[in-house]
Amino acid sequence: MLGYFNIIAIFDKPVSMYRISRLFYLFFFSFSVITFNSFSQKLVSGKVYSSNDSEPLVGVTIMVKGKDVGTISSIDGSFSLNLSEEDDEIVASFVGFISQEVSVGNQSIISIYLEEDITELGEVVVTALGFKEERDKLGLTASKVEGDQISRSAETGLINGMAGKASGLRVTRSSGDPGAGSHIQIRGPVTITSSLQPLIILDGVPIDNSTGSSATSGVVSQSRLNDINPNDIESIQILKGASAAALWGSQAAKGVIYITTKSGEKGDKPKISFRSVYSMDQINSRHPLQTTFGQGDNGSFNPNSTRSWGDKISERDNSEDIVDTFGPFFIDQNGVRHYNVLLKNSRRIYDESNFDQIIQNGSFTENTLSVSGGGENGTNYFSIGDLNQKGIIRSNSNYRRTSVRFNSTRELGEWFKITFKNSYSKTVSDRIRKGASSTGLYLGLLRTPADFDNSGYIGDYYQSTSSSPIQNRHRSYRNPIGGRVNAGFNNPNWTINNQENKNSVERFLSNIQLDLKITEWLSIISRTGIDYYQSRTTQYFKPGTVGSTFGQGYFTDGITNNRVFNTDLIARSNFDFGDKINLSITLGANLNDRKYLRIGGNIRDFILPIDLQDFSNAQPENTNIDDFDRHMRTAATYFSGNIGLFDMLFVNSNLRVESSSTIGPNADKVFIYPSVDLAWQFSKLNLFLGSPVLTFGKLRLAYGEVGVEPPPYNTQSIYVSPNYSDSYGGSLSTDLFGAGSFTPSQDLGDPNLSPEIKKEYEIGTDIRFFDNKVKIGYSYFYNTTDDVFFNLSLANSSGYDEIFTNAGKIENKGMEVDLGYDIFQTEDFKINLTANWSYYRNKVLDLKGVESIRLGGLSAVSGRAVEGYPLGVFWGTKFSRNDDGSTFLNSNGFPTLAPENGVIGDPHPDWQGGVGTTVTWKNLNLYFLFETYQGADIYAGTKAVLLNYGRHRDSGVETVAEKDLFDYNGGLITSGTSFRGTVHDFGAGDVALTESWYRGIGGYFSGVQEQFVEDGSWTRLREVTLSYSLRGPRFKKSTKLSSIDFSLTGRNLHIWTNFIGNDPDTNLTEVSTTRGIDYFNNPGTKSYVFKITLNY
Amino acid sequence: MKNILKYMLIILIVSCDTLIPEDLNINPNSPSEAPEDLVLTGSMVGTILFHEGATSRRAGIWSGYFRGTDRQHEGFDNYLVEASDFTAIWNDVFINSLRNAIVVEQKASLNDRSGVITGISKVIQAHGLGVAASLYGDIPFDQAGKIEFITPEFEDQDKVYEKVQELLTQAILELSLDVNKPSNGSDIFFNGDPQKWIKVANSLKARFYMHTKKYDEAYNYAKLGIESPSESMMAVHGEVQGNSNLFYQFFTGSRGSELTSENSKIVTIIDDNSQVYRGNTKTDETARYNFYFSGSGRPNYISGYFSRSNSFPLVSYSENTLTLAESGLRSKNFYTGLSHLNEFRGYMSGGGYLNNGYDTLSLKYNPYIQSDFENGGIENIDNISKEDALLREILEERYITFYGQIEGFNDVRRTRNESYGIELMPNSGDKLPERFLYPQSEIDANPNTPSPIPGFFEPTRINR
Repeated sequence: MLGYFNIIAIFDKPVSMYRISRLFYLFFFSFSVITFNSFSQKLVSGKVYSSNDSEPLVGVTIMVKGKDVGTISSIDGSFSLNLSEEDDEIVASFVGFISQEVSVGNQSIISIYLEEDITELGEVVVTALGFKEERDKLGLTASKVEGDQISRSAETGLINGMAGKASGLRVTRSSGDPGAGSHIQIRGPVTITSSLQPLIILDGVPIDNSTGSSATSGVVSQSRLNDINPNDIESIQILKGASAAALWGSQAAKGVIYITTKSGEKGDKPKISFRSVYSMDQINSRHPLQTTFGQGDNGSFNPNSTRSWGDKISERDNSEDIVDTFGPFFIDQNGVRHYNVLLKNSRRIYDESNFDQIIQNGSFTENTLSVSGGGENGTNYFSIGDLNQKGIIRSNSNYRRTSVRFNSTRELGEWFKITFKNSYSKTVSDRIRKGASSTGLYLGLLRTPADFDNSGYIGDYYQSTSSSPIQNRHRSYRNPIGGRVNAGFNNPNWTINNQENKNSVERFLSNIQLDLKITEWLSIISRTGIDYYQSRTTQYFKPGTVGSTFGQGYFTDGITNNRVFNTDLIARSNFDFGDKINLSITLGANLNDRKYLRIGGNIRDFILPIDLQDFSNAQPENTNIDDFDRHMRTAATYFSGNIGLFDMLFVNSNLRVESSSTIGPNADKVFIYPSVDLAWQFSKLNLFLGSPVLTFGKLRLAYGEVGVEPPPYNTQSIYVSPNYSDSYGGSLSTDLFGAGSFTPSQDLGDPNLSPEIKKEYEIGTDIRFFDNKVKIGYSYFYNTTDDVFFNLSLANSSGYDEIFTNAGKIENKGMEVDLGYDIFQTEDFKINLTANWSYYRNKVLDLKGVESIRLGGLSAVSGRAVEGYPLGVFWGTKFSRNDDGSTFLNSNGFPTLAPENGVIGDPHPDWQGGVGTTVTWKNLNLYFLFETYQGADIYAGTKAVLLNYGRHRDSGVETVAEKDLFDYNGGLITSGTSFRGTVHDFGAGDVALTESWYRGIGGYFSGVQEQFVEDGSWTRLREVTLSYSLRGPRFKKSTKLSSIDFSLTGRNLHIWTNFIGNDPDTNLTEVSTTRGIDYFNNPGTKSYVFKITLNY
Repeated sequence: MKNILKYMLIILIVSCDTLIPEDLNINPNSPSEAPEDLVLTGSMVGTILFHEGATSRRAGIWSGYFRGTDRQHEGFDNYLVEASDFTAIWNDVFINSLRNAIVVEQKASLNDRSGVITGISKVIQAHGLGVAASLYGDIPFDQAGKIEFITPEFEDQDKVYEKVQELLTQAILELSLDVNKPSNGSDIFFNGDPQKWIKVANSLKARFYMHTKKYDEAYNYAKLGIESPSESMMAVHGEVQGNSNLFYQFFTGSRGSELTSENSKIVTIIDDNSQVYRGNTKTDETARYNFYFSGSGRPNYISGYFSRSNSFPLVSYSENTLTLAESGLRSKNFYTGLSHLNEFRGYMSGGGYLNNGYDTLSLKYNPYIQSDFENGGIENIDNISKEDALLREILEERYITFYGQIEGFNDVRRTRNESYGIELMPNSGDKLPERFLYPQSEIDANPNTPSPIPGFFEPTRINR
């Protein structure tokens, strides 16, 4: 207990002992009102554990063999049983575990270790508080992903390893960049502008899974959950419904992912395992480009053009280009001279070489050593792992994670157990900029004309042969001899070689749990954890980078500290009233404190134009510093009661009473989160007993309320020192004028701010047929989230932009089906199949009259919340329409741009599913996982731009007019003429789509975005693994190893999709509510992985 | 048992609440108050942003000053605009300039500081609202910039102009009190000098009477307005990214190459290689051309008009003098107009508003005389009346002087239907832009926004 108080004392503002003692008082008070006669029994007593992790098992039936006499293990796994003289054997049985017979002999104290029954996997559920419960007695739904499924997938990050393996869980990897974060979503979006990421609980303690800013430019953000070594995971429980998660109150609305790390196995000899993984990663899709026409406009070569509407390359005479050797020139890093081109003669096309300068095959290696074991009184698990990845981008794209974990349990006597779980990880990465930025990778690469060679990207510029060189000029297709300071768009070689975005994170996750058995029926658990990390991020832009901010050098450096402290004090009790009624009650108190600090700065316009990454390299007026503090706390007490009647009907109710620091001063101080679920095992009706078909059947009903805690500091309005940005231009920083400035923020706070409340109803069933060969789980749910807070847009003419307030309402409903089928099973040969399917519908019900809320995305196409539509619909420009809804066409037969934007697409799938098949023959194992995602829209922004630029394959088509055609500008193409473009009929006869169309409303910049919303459905071979395990007595004798496992895994080997250019999972705004935008996103990957594991 | 449960619940509630200190949610990163003087500076920088930033570039494309050649600016050049293109620039005026100025006034009144600081704040409000009305037509006025009105009502454009005039009258009154000046340094334009502010206010009155074609009043107020270049209200700039000239920042930024004056109307008028070059025996525009442009019309941001620390005119001596010329001609007589025009030419022949060495290049602005405008005179080779010839010359002079400024767009729209003025040809289609569109953000959040929104080619009330 002392440790508990010590940890409390680390708060900056220590919680007074008085308050703590009141909390304690509460527990003892609450138990003193319920008095029981503890029954004293003798003869045989002991404990039942799971052999897997040595956790005590509650509710195990211990029967005297051959008699109808028995008991059930209590809260700490202990039992005691009266035996008569002739009884010698007892049987311990528990669903999900293999029953075990134990001969008693002379022993009076017995420890029983039950082996988990592999065929019954998933039948034990880890609840929100981390206790194992029998699934069949619960009315909630939870999906489970086993640790070996995660490690088998050989994903570099934990999150991606879950993809496709559980119903109701959507995992989206937005980029193939090393260390890229992933979007996790459980049961659809329940909130509007807050993060949709679920609460992550690691061994009972909530941890941070923050992601970066998900901006439209910059580097892809990471998910902090990936700091955890996937090989350390025992299991992951996904608590989908509100009732399952209710005990986490205002942090639980987006669902809970409960991760349990491995423990050693008790009483066994140490197990040593060494695993080595090599993966080869490749780009999985490329944007199709035209190579028929070169740089220029209107069909003529123009070396200053930003576009590829130039001459036909094959019509050049293919001699050397005629260059201006008397004019200015450029000597690149390879010593090659570049002059202004006077006449373009060369037919050379550089698309492939330009691409190959940037993209390679990536790879990673991962080595993990783990040692686990234990003695009589405890267990230990130790692992050390190192993952080292080089991305598919040739330079400055990498990820390395080194982690150490030590988990240990110790029993100190009968009544006291202590569990430590600790890990340290260091994650280092470098990432390449993406997206809507002149300094992003694909933007410069894909816009480069086919006839321009990007290989010389930096060098010396000479105005004439006699002038002295200007060094380190940036050469790009818009700056072919480096004559200008500003190269227009970054040469992609510059992007990957002269820009850095480094991040390094050191993270400690530390847990201590004390289990104290007070009486036979009562135990007290104290569980405290700290999640601490420090992250350092630096960005470097060499002078010469495109853009006024970076042009003369730019460097940022920042340190972030994040600390989550969480402590729970839990009292658990369990009573039997005869064999008909079982009651268990849990009471607890929780304190959760989160602190975040960021300090950093940036400099621009370097004094020394060298690679000095230090704040001293700029003048004071070009130096900015910046800091940000955040502190939030929630405190709660909770109650959970289970009652089992006739071993058939189980009612489980929870109540969490919570207060949060982020609630407005005028709102209620505390919020109550109730939930109740009911499980009815109808298969225990006499009607079904002994049925050869129906093995098990359960009906579930659940209701729960959970919340979303308001973000901090939104309950009052503030003053800021604004930096006004000029649309498409620069900015004015008010603190550089006069004596500086503070003005009211354009965003208002709300003193009435309160949590969002999600209410969910759920009904479902779990049925098993034919002796558990076929398992079906079905759930239907409906939920609404009320009081959704968001920045309610104000009419800007009011002088304010937004107020952060509770204003919205959103609903979700859906169905989930899980299926398991053991198709074939003999001793040596097994085939089984698992499948999941989910279907969700989401609708924004109320936005207080606001037509739409921008959630993120591009200025041309954004994700929005719009009343009556699913959250995150695409919003952009549309064609003008006639009153009857048909497209308005002008006199030339072309459509026009409508003056107002509207909804143009929906990135949500109609349904999603996964099918996995395992075929096992002796020690050989083959696993397939297909995943599908149907009916989702994707916005093809890259294509829209490339059409405008004349670079997309579709803009390189030549057509012979079969009749007179108008082009977009009203120009006439006479019959029989060949022109660059295609013929299209918008409804008023054929017209010619030519350069003028694509540079007008047929391309990105002034375009009608509606036409670029495409079908983003996909089906992918998410994973295929062939593994072989070398084992057996003879093998063991000769090698001293218990086994060597080999496996070959392919990930994302094939994707069936209509979307071309990138992995359809791609998303510009990554891990955010705005989904499905492709805009020069960095490419996705597929991988071939080889693994070898040595088990000693 | 029920009572016990109830009692327990109360304890549960009390105990979890007491673990949360009340001040935990006080934002440690930002203050919740600031004095009005600091807000004043913010509103002034907001004013610079509105009159010098994206709004003026956009207006410039539609005034023949600039051509948009790429990406979104190519769209603007082809009149492909939609409501969401205007969201950010609408905020520039209503939030950053107007709202902050209103807060200054409210705070100062609360602190019994009526006088110069409130007068200045009113000038800034009137400046923003008047120009916003010129661009958008009907706009919110009484209810604008005040959080009590979250959906401000729109008022007719002509009504807004009247109220802007009243606001300026009141501002002049308060400025004349000569008490309660803003703290030293916080007024970045005139450091609290009420006399200069009064002149700016009068020049603004004159400007807005020009918009509404009340040339009598325009002339009268312009007479009370800015009398010397040192009284001009200029956006001051420095050498740092966050305070340098917004045109400079734009032209050196990633979008810089999307906008140019090459192939624009203004270049043809003052480029001496052009067929329609305005130069004559008394006029040499070489210096001004090079101050504005390099090469065939690339805006001169290296060392000229748009260079990094160059000030940008907001309400200038040049504008006021040319207002005297035009309104004098229209409301008084030929000679009044001519004498003010020659006043301006005199100023220009000494270098005028050119600087950075361009004022010493080859230039000539000799005074005109009546015969120059009579039949066959150097400014009247097509034999029109001398008044029309002078008007044509003044409008042309205004057009060239207002390069890059929103007033250029106001002038071309105001005089479009008259016989003599700057004639623009549409870049696309057969109509010329007549207004800025209401922004999508206002359409979304303010049910009082006129619906359907007036089209891009629909003149505002005062120009019908």
